[in-house]
Amino acid sequence: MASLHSKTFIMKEDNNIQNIENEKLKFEEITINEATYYTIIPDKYKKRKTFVKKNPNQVFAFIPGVIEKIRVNVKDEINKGDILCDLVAMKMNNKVLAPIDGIIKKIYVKEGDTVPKDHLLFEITPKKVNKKQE
Amino acid sequence: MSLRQKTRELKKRMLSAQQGGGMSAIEKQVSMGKLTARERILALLDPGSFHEYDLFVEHAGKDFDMDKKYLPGDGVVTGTGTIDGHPVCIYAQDFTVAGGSLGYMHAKKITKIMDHALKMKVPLIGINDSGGARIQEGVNSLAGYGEIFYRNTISSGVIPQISVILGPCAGGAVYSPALTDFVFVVDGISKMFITGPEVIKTVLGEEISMEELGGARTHASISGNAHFFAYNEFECFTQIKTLLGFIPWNNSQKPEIFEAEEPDTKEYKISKIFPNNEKEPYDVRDIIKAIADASFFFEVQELFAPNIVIGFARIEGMTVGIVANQPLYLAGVLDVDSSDKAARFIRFCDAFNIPIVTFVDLPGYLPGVDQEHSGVIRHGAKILYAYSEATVPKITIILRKAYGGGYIAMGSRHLQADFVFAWPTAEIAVMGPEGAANIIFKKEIQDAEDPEEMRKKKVEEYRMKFANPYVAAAYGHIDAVIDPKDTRMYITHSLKVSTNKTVIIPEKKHGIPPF
Repeated sequence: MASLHSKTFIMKEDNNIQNIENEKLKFEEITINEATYYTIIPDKYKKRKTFVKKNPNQVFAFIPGVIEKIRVNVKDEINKGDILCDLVAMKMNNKVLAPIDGIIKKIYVKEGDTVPKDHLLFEITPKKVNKKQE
Repeated sequence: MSLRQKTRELKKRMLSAQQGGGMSAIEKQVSMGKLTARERILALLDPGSFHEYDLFVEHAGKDFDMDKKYLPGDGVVTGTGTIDGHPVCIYAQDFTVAGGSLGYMHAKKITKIMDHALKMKVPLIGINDSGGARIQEGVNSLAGYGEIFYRNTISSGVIPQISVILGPCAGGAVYSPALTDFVFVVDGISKMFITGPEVIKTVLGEEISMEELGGARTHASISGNAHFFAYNEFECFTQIKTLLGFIPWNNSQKPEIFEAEEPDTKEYKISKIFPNNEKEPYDVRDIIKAIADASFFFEVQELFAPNIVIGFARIEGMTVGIVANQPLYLAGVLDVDSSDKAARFIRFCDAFNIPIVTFVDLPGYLPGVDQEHSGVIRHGAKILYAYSEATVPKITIILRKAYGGGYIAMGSRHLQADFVFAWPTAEIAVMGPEGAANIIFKKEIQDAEDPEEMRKKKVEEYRMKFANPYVAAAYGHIDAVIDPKDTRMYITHSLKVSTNKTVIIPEKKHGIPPF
């Protein structure tokens, strides 16, 4: 049976771990429920996506695809639900809609661009709500 | 014509059909380091046991000049044979014939042997090596795939189904292996994906090699689609034979009982493997080897989610499925992948009457936004469902940490484990001393002159009081606290006691597991 990581090793009581095959197994610390353990951290865990809170004023591609048509310009005033651009993906002509009322601050793509999922497309300066007027 | 002449005619036809795609196609196959379909079957089955069916089947393509083409056996070899004397049904796609593409008759041959396997209640082995659907046959090739998937599903849990990926297996074709019980892959030869690197590049602009996208190593370690990884086809066949030695032919049988062999306790000595410091890692597979017959542990999905270990072993000749937390990786936590991995294995063991032995040592579920957002709740629930649902004998040994949800999930008494034993090193509690002390003694720690000193004191106090097996033993949640060196004896006895285990569950069509 093939074994890519079956190795024998011994442990000393002073927390030093030595591999008798002289190939060093790398133990790292991981904290779970406030206790710290020594263990091997697999690549898949290290490469996991760390959570980044999305800026609500930014519009991202919800699907990977091609920007076919951009329907707004910088400084345009837009309302929630307006079409910002056409994003062609999976044989569908998808519409990217404005999530909020405001003014287009910056456009990060141009027509014909291929974008991955979660690629930044637009940034909007939100409309200031004047509470007195309401 | 005389009988002799007719027999000669038959031999001639057989020889022509058995040549597959002809010399140049076979040479190409060999140059890729691959065996031909027929060679693969002969290498896997007992010598002289292969009986081929449907050798003279011809393809059903009518359009695009396909009617003028002769495709021997329509690109797939099917039949029956034996492995170590046990009957199996087998099919192998022949890449030398039209790239092993799946047309209507090709699929018919496969579904015929699948029906046969289900009726005869023998294991089914499918060797995949195909470029995909035969486009010239249009919707008929899609129909073929659908018929195969249906049979994979209906046979699931009745007969063991094994998929061997020895070449490309792309597009819809990947779903047949995904529906079967065990998928075998070979380094550099197996390729599985829904959409290939070309499409991904043109549509999404992401560049990735075929090997990185869907090679053997990728599926064995990252996606978890493959269960066994081998460096060459012969090693792969040995793995298949070993697996078939552990599992019964169908769901109405029990695994074969072998002659007992003592473990090699010189090489694998529990007192040497198990660390004194409760935060030190160790390889739980060494503990398993210290207990298993001949110290042989046949690991499944070795490279995927290594924080849980699953596989087969024998104890006093009796086959068991083993599930064990692996402190060597990620401290042995349960996460999305490890829950998924263990739950499916438990369901396999339950379906095929293989008792489950669980070794527990985990700090709990893995914290993190990525875990929560990838659904650690519903994936984690799978392991609870699988243990609760299983009616085979369930034996649980708590080696060290069994905290919180992890304690419940890992084959606890509360999920109806039949035997729960704990080593004296077990720490069974709602959470680890560090976390618990900070909550329970929050005020005392805050108000202390030296909070850090007080915290340490309280952690130690909690550890002394609760981080042991005796609180759980006092409530009968565990059956016995045992000397680690007696573990094999306890498991053997438990297996013998539970030979006639019967469980009555409410009648239902089927449950709705948190897939």
